[in-house]
Amino acid sequence: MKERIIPFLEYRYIAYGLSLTLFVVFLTVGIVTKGLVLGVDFVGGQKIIAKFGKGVNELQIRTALSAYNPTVQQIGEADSHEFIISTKLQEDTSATTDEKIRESLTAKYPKAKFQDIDALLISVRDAIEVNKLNAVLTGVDAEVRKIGDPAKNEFIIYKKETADKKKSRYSSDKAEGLIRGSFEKADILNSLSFMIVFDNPLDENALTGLVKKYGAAVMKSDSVARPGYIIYKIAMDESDQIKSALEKKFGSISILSTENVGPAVGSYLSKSALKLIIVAILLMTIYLAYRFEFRYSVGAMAAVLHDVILSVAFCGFTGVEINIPVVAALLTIFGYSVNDTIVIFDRIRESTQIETKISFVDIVNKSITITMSRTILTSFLTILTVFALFLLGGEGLNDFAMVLLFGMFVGVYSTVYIASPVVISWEKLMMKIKS
Amino acid sequence: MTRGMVYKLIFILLLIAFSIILVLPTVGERTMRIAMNSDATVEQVNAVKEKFPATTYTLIQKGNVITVTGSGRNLNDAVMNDVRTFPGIMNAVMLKHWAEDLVLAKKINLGLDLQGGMHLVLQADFNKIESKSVDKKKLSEKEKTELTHQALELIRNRIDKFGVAEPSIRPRGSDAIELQLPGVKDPRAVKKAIGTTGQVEYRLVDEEYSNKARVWIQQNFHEKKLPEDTDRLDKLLADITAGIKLPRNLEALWDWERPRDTQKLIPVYPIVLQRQVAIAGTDISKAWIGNDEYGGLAVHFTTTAEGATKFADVTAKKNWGKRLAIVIDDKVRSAPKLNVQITSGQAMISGSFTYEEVNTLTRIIKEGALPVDLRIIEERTVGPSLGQDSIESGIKAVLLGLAAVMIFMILYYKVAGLIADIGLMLNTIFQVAILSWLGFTLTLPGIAGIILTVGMAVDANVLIYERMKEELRSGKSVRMAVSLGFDRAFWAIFDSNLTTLISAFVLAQFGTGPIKGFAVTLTIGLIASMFVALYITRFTYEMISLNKKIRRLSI
Repeated sequence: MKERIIPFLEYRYIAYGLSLTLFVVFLTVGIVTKGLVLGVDFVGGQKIIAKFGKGVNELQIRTALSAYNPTVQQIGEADSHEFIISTKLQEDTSATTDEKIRESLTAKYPKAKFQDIDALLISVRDAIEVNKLNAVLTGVDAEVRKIGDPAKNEFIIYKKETADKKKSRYSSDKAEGLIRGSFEKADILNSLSFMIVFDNPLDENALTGLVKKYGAAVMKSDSVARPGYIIYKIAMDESDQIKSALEKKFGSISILSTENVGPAVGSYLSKSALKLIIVAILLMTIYLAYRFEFRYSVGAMAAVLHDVILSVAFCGFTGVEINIPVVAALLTIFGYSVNDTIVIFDRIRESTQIETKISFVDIVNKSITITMSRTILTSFLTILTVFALFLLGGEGLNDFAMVLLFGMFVGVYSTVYIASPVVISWEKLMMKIKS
Repeated sequence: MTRGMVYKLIFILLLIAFSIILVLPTVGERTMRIAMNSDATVEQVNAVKEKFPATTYTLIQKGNVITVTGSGRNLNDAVMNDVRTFPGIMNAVMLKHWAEDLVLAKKINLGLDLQGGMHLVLQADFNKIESKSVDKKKLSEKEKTELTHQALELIRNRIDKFGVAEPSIRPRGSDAIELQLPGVKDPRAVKKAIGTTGQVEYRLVDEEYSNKARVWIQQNFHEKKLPEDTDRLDKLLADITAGIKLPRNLEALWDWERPRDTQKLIPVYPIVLQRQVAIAGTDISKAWIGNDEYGGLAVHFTTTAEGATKFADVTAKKNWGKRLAIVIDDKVRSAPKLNVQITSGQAMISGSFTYEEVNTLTRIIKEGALPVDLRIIEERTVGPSLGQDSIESGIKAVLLGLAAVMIFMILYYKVAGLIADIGLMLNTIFQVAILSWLGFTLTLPGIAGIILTVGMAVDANVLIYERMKEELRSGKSVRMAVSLGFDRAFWAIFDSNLTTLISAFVLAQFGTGPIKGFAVTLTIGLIASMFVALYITRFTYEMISLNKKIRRLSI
């Protein structure tokens, strides 16, 4: 039975040209727009997925958070009002913010004495005696003071000055626990706050202005009373700050997930990603050289690198951020592309053993032709499943599926037009070098 | 049918039955018991009821306990974690599935991205310790590892109060600690607790008031177990303090123990200590595990020069017979008796300790001596509702992918396609069975791995079928074509799957949990698919070609 053989190899220069053009196009478009964007996983920063009320749009969120210069993107269906908000790393943490505030206060008011404490601000819905609070807090060395409007039952609780500082049993945690346990009608207005108590008269406006400058929210202050005090709250970290900023602007929102990645993690991840790709290439080359011949390794690796490089360029082209799932997709493309190629190589090897009369180029052409139905079929089926993932997999897998889809399309093409032709070209090159 | 084939058939059938049982705790009918607080309002109860509509769940309420039954798809750990955050809930637990008792089957572990929870990486900062040391030299990797390990104990201590059911706290490399806290309710409080510096101190026990406190508890506290949440425990301590009229120079705390084989600390009894700190954690310079004079395990330690004076004071004769409590973050963890004055600055704590107890104690003492600064460098928190959505969309995607491939195979390969489809379903069952049996964690990328294997698994069938078609076309008999199809496709299947396995293996080394989940499901899926195609499908075709009359294959 005579079969039709398609002379794939004749088109190889067209294929090389096509790949190059595609790469150049992706690269130019990528550079012109944003360039390759490394995601939060690699450069550090925060990523928050939040659900908002009706009528909120990307622009509003971006304006509300302008201080953080965030990227905002709506996800899911339009009526779900879900957005991804991500910001790249900024250095400050709550501890350093607090230190900075104290430093600048001391610099500005060298004569004032500042006492630093973590304080608790509570409001009780029943009339309550200070004595009663004192009785409950007796074990924790807490100072209780009634503040604000006499009609309201608001108190601040902070560390009592004890002779020996080390012996103080105070912590806002303990005090909070005791109050919650003893008074059902007490609301802890803001835990996690810091307070500065000072004993000289100070300019209240200048003071609050200074604190606000560092992004801390002033909860209460009184500079007339002696000692005067200012209570401010620093969000734990940027994601908390963003959360409170959003809550202030849009009312109740629900945070679906947060990610917060430090700079050390990012560089650790990018290093290990790079290392792994190199290890994968080495392992694969060795295996192929062992199972087949070295020239096949060259062909397969050329096809694989072709696919991975084009996929990375594709990310730049479409503006997909390189995050951990995308790296996983790239490594999967890596494995899958070789998978495809090997089936053809396997056939070429088999044919070279059986058919000795026809030329190598013809054997390759024939092998590609015979395995063509399989190449198209399985690639089609795998692409089908990845497409299902792309459609239904949800936000977490969207980028992963998209990059994988592209890589698989390119993979089919490179299996046919890159892998085997490179084997032939390599062969010719070696011949030339030898002669 | 030969005897060998009968055995094969029995083996395959048993394997399938076993796998189905293994999958049951994951997808079969599950029951969850929700305990409401005794003072839960009607609205709170209704909110819980609304979460479980009668169309998908059965719901029975008896007093404060609501029992919900539903399929594993709709009733999983993500749902449980979500319910736990509802107001008015005391607790929610999944009841064991019958298969879990019968064959040690397990429900599949869900990753934090699916069940909701918090993932933290803490980085140890050794700068302070290095600058404190006499010769200011850099710590070796081994010393760093040891310091990081001792900080684990401290972290466990702090995480404990958040009531996380199965916390995983383990070292990563020499200078980092990785925490997985599924279903944690208040991520902010966790971060705050971890951020505070730990304190280890040694304080004398007041036996008289300790006894009074214990008597008070027996008379006034009538629940079976001490409460677990911090607020109630603190309240109870305040009650004790008032109840036994504790003088101001004394303080009541809880003595905490860790039951065997758990990571959880539980309060055991109240103990009264002097407020004055006898010895600070930093007064100790070194601690190590050794033996006492009878050969039992003991903790040895040496004190600093300053510590030696304090130690001689505390261990003076007037205190003999008293106990010295080791307190870490306001939890009493051990209270050995003093019976000899120690002036040399070297001492040991002996008792009938197990190795684990000694080890823990040594770490606590070391941690007190050299507190390591820990910083949060990575945080990922997923709310339980997002987790439920991810599971739902993941299942949908798997089903759609599976259905699309199966329909195509039947259209293209007819009966052979049907056989491949059965193999495909078996493959997915095997994959989930192995995942849950070996206790791997299923993550969202892991679900992607399952979907991808559906596409890749069918590849083996396509290779075999295309080869069979080829052999049939060249005029071979059905039997020959079947046999040659499998034989000749074998190496192509083997090689191509192996390269994918190599890249999956490399991917599994990529440190982060979710991606590891992807690599693991992909690996298991590929191995299962090779087994299904080369063993089970082949067996099916051998059975078919037993019938000598077959002239045509439907392929």
